[in-house]
Amino acid sequence: MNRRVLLVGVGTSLPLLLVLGFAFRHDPQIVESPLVGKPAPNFRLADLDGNVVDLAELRGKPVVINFWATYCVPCLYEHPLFMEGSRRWQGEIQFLGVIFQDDPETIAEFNSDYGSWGPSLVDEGGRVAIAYGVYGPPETFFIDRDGVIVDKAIGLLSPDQLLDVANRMLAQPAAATG
Amino acid sequence: MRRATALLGLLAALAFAVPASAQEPDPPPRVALPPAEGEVRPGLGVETSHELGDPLGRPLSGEELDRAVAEVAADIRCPKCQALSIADSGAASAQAMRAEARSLLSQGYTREQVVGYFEQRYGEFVLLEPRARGLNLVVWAAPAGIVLLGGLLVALRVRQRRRSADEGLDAYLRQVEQETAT
Repeated sequence: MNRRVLLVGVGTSLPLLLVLGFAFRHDPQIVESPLVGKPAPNFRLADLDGNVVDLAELRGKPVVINFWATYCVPCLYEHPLFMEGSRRWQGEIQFLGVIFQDDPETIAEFNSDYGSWGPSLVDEGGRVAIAYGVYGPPETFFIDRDGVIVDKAIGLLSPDQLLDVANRMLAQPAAATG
Repeated sequence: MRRATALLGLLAALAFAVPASAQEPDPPPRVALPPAEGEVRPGLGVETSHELGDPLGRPLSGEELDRAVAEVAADIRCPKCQALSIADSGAASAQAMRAEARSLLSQGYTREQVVGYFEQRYGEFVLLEPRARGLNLVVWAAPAGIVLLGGLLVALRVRQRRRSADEGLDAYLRQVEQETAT
């Protein structure tokens, strides 16, 4: 009888443990982007001054796109990191900020107070955020010289992460661009 | 007389002062004006056509479009919410996704194309009802499997009890036969 109870117990709990073990192999809060490894959706957006940025025209140079907003606290923590990054890789990596559901006036005031690390692009209707499958700010996309999304960071970007992906993108030979 | 002169002077000063302040040019706008609702700036936006392909349906409008948008929205998870569809959520992301679905359906993209577009962008997580394939089959098959297994266990248990009851009755009858025979 005890043997039977043991068998039933193992038989019911083992599949449950296997399912849970498989499900918790990674952070359930992180949803892998299906866009990594695929061409970045092209867009043409105007910045706060009305200057148009066309992503296709940046082909040949690595691009970092950060979806951000002033109401997003991690975005504010990321700000100095992008300031430093845009200074360090000036001319080598293009940093672009896409405003995620925020008032352009508020963004302009923020940039005026704290400095700007790149064009703040106005995403009318949030269509670019949808095309990039953005769940919420901050999300950062890394696009290589060929226009392929090589990595994506959800939430607060760490300096190590930025350094690692930037070095990887810069290590890609420029001759590989089409 | 002095009072009248002073009053005239004050009025003259005010007369010059008001137009002067009114004529001051407005400070230049710090940002480009956002478009009016529904206005689309030519040349701006995102290219989705090469990802969606050609529209496989016909452009919808009116009530038919409203129904199609509601159907698509009911299947898509709001990215900013917990287990809410974009139809049920008032979040700005959900509104933007509904507007995108409306735009695509009005251009002739089918319901499957629109749902597929969101899935391409956000991953399968964005579907409120996961597709019945791969590991997802566990989710679909588990309830039926559990019901079948439970039914099987109940049937076995009933059969076992019936058999043991029959065996007990047989033994009792044998005993009665033995006792009545002697």
